[in-house]
Amino acid sequence: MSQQNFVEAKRLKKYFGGGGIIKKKPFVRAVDDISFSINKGETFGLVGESGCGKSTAARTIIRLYNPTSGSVIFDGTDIAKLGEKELKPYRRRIQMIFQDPYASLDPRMTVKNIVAEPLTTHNICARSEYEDRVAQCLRMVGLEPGHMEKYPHEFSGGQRQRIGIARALITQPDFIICDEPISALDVSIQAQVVNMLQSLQEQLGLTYCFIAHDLAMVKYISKRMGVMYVGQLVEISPSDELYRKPLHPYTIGLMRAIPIADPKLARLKQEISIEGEIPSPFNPPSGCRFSPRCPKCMEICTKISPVLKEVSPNRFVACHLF
Amino acid sequence: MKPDMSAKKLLEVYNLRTSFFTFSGEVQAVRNISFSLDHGEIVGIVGESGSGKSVALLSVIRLLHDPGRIVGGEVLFEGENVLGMSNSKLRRLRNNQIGMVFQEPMTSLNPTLRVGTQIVERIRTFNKGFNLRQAREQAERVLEMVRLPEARSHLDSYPYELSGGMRQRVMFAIAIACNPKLLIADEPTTALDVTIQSQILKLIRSLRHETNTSIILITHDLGVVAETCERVIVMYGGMIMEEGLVDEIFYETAHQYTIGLKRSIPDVNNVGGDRLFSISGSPPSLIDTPMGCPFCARCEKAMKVCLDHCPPYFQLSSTHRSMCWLLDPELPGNLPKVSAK
Repeated sequence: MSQQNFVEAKRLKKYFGGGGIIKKKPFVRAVDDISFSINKGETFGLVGESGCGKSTAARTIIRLYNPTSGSVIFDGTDIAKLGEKELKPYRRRIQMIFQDPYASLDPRMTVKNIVAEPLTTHNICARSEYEDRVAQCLRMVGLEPGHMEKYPHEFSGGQRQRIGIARALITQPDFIICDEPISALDVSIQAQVVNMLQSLQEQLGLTYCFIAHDLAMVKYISKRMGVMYVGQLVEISPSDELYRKPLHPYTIGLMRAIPIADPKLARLKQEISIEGEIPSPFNPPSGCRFSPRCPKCMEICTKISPVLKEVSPNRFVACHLF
Repeated sequence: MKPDMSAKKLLEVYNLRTSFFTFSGEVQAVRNISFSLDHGEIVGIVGESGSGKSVALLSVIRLLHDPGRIVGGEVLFEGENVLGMSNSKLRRLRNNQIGMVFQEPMTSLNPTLRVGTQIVERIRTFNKGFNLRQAREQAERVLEMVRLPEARSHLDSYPYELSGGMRQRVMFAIAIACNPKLLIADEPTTALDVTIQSQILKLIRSLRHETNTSIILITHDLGVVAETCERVIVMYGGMIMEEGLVDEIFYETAHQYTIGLKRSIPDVNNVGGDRLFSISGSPPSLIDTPMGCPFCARCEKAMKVCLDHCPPYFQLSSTHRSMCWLLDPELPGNLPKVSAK
């Protein structure tokens, strides 16, 4: 049942800029040489702070951006090099859920038109079937089919996110990228949406790439996760083990920074936080990108960039300490 | 925090009601809330968006705009009535006694003015005697207090040259530039990354120790509250659902809404498997406010009485109160250990 490496990114790079006629502009190395794979039916979490390139990585994988180099293997095919026309059948199988449920729905379209739009784009079925299919999708995400003729502004944030999910489901995809699908929602609504995403995964056998900066939520929903820092993956590990024993100094700092909703534990917590700011991807530090903020920085760290290596089964870390 | 009965409370709010008068009707954003704040205390106000937490604090310092209006109640700052104050007196109060930090540092700083100019402006309105040089020196001192690296050179930076965390530090610098007695921070870390958030929370804790300023921290994140606050006020539907010391709120939770909130947070230490608990439904409309308990439509344990009658506060300890009928001593099975206030 479970298929290894259903989605695989290999040495994927995405640089922005670099143009300019008279003077060459600097590159932003948004995603700089990352490799990871996702098995079928699995949820892979991608965490990191803003600007670390997690959204760019996801958008490059589904070819919303064209990669600068590297390859993306989806179900055995390298989709990084396909032309627009050859890519189209794959687009149908890969869908995306966006962060902001207010900005990602056209305010002048009815729910029915929003959810049905992918059917037109991919020419999936006859127009007469639209209504049934939309109704079915709305039911799957816990909305009444009677809402079909309403406009997005008539819904709350959580309901809008459900509409966005219905739109992603209507093409019957295999792989869905969830780009911070819950960070704009209130705590009590977040749990509703996450539970729904999990039920849908069980029913439909979906594969998720779940991006978020809320580590607790990512840990909760995903089996394996990758931690990104300034365009690079610093650690890939099963979620449980990552929480029990983070290895990379950045992951350790990130874990410590999460506020614990337990005052007694919080008081015991040592007052250590990662000092300094996240470096700019225009001009990342030489060697390991975390070295200027790292409490365990050694001489080698500022010179040679560490590569991701397997330190114990299924645990990969990019750090000279290992 | 020493309970000193003779000393006046810093801030007292009684039966505050604030409404927005819109075309679709009166939106009762804050409905009858009362709370108080001691000197040197950090209090967290938690609630979801639309629970009225920000509006309540904006009402306290009278920063509301049309169509918002304070409909009733009383606000006392060191015993002085804020709601009845003349504009000039109010201005002095905001200038000398109260500092405010908002959620989004980019929109609250003026993008066309240097950081130093903005801090100096605050210092000189407060202290007319300062000349420019003294004010700049003071500005540098407060930037050092908020631990902005290279404080002196950043006086001449524009906000766009700073990162989100640094901008938020500048906001704190402006807020504390005049040694306020009360600092109100409205979701100060929501727009920031976790590592930066933990730096800012550390700053808030140390500011309280260094200056003995009372701090009200508005947030929706229970983790932030657990790490920073001494006392917690939980708001929902414009009302205070539960109030107590941080340990009482977390370990002796007495309101179904707080219990739900706590259970919706995934437990990091729990080895997955189970479904997350979620509170079904969504918050009530504040135009047709429910007659009974605002949470009853989403409450698992709602009873008939909850629909029709808003519960009173049941006092569980001298510091802990909760608005829930389940605590009524007359409810069969409840021991008469609590008393209705």
